[in-house]
Amino acid sequence: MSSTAITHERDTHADSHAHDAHEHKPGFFARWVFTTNHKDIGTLYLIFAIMAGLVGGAFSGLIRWELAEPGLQVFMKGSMLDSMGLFNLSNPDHAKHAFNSVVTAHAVIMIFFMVMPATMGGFANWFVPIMIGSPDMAFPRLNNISFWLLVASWVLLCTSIFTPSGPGGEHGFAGGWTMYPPMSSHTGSPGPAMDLVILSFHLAGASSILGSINFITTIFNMRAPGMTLHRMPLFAWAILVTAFLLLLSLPVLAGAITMLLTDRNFGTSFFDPTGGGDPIMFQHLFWFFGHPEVYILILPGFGIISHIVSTFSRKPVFGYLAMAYAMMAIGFVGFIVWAHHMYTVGMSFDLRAYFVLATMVIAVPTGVKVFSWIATMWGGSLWFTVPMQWAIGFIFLFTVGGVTGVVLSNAAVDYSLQDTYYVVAHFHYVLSLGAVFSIFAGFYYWFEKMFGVKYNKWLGSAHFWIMFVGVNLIFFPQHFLGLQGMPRRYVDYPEGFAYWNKISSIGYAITAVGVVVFLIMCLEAAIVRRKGEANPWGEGATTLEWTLSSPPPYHQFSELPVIKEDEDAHH
Amino acid sequence: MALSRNSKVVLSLVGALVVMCALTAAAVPAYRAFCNATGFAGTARKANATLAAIQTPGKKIVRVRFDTNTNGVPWSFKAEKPYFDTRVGKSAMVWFDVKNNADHPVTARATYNVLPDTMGAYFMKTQCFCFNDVTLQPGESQRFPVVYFLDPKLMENSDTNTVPDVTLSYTFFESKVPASVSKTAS
Repeated sequence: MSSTAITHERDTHADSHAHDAHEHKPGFFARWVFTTNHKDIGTLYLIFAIMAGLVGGAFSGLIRWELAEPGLQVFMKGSMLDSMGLFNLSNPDHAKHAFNSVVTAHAVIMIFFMVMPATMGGFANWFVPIMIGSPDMAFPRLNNISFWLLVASWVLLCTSIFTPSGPGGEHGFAGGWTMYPPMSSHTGSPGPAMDLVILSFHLAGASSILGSINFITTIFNMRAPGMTLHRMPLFAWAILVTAFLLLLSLPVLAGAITMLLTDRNFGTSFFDPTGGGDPIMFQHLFWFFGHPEVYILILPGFGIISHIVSTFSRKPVFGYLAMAYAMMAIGFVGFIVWAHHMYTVGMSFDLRAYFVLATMVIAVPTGVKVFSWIATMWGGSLWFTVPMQWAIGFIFLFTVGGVTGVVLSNAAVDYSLQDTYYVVAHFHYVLSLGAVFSIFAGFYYWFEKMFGVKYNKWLGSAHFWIMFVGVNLIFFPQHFLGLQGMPRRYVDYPEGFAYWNKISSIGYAITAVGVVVFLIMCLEAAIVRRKGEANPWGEGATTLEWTLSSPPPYHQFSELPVIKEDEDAHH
Repeated sequence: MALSRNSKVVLSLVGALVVMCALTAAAVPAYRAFCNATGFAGTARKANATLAAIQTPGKKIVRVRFDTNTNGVPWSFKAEKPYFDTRVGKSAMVWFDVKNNADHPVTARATYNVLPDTMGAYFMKTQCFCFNDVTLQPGESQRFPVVYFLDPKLMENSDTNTVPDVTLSYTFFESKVPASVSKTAS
């Protein structure tokens, strides 16, 4: 790092020191609406993610409630849901459409408005600047725009759920988060709901692109003296790789949905065979974005888990450099495996063979990470705190999902499992259980740091165990259903699938209790307000956020941290 | 004035963004060219008559089925025969008949596809009537010839050398261009 950089840092530091003297917080409205403070923006993102997670979780509740028994019980005229008047269930076709629109909304909300805001928005905003020893993000005002664009995107998506879509005037787009034409084209969804979904994705994409430019610039330019890239904590590494994935994949999604928009409204035929277009091309473009997207969801979680496992094993993470480069390898290979989502479109044998091979290669860097976490714990002085329980739960569940991923990567196997509940079980094990467990792990790891109060450990533990039992009960039986041939995205199923669907829905009820315990845990901590310590985790917590008070000062680093050779944090 | 460190990083990132957008736009013609060149996704390939003449007919006989669809266009549309047992490498011709049953002129265009998809690369058409607007007056009928041959190279591909039959499917879609402004194809 050049000497000019250090001078620059010191200038910023002197400036922030002046503010520090009286914490200089603006009034409530100015502080939270116009905020440019990375910690406040991080908090806003976390609140947003929890809110969206509750909505998305309620939607999955409707799905499991409907699928608890064969036949129609929720999505039908005269049901309890109908009496709430949220969805148009006036005739059976509208009701079935409503089910699929709920499935679609559940996916979109959980991906774009829950997991991404929680990891890239919440934890990354909070801790990347602190971990690299920077006073704030490189472009604080851009950071504010990113957040409010996401809110606007959320409003558009919610509007679309209650807007006419189908040929019969059914409400809400029901073609799945993958939006394949012709389901998403004028033929399948003539109403304005799909246009709103497209515009919502445009705004969410713009928000994420601005955010990723901000993170990359921050990480490249604002590291404290001595904080070389190879000494940077793994969470910052994870965010750096994720930001690059977002930057390179989102323009492709934006392009594809813009073509869809012009196909729908301006008479082009990019994906319309009647004009010489090809709907399969949409699938290629979508999955060129969609596959990196699933790594965007999980990579920040990898970073969080590395910190937690290292902290509570009280030793540096095993194979620091291998961990960092494994994430880069996952990010790179993630861009060249997209057609494994499309084995059944009729690709040639050689093409399928390539995508099978490339997909299986991802298991290598992923295996490096899983084994390094285990090796970090091996011989460590383990401390089974609440975040450590979540982290170990994550490693277990993510590995289960990874194994079924290798199964599905075989084109021959995928021919029979494509679009069955086996696939649903697979991606919920890596995302709904993997990514979500990493988010809860991070939440319990940094709760005291972010909010300055301690949570009730008993409630945190109860939350973990109830969730762990609940989600496994939901998703493990779905493997059986998929292997028996139950297809995704249907409102009903034959008698033969009834048993495991019942078990799965019971699992949902248990998970819902877990979520209630989570909310009680938050409330209890907010009411009792046990004062938090700067570093509750002891010697294992070596990253810079633990050198600050809890919560950290409004503008941090009145003393510029200098990272020396012998203090390599290495995790 | 030299660019600040932040500007340099941001400019290169915006550059990467622009490149990805450009690649996405370029994907459209690139994908079409790729499909035409390789027969990917069941795109039957176009060949000239000279190429057809120089093929050595093979021993294998593949049953080529002809499928005709109108997707709501008020026309009757059928092939002169439902299938033709075609010797690999030998040119064959089949006639398709269309008749407008409506009481008004209708413009439509045909698209085609080959199933199984993997056969697309070896289904060579030297003459066809696809992707042109066709306008038929009320009650008018037309005949279109399709001349094709099966590339003997299909015998070298394990995906295709055991395929016993292949379907050439045509679908007429109502043209997006109104009938009054489009020319009659003849």
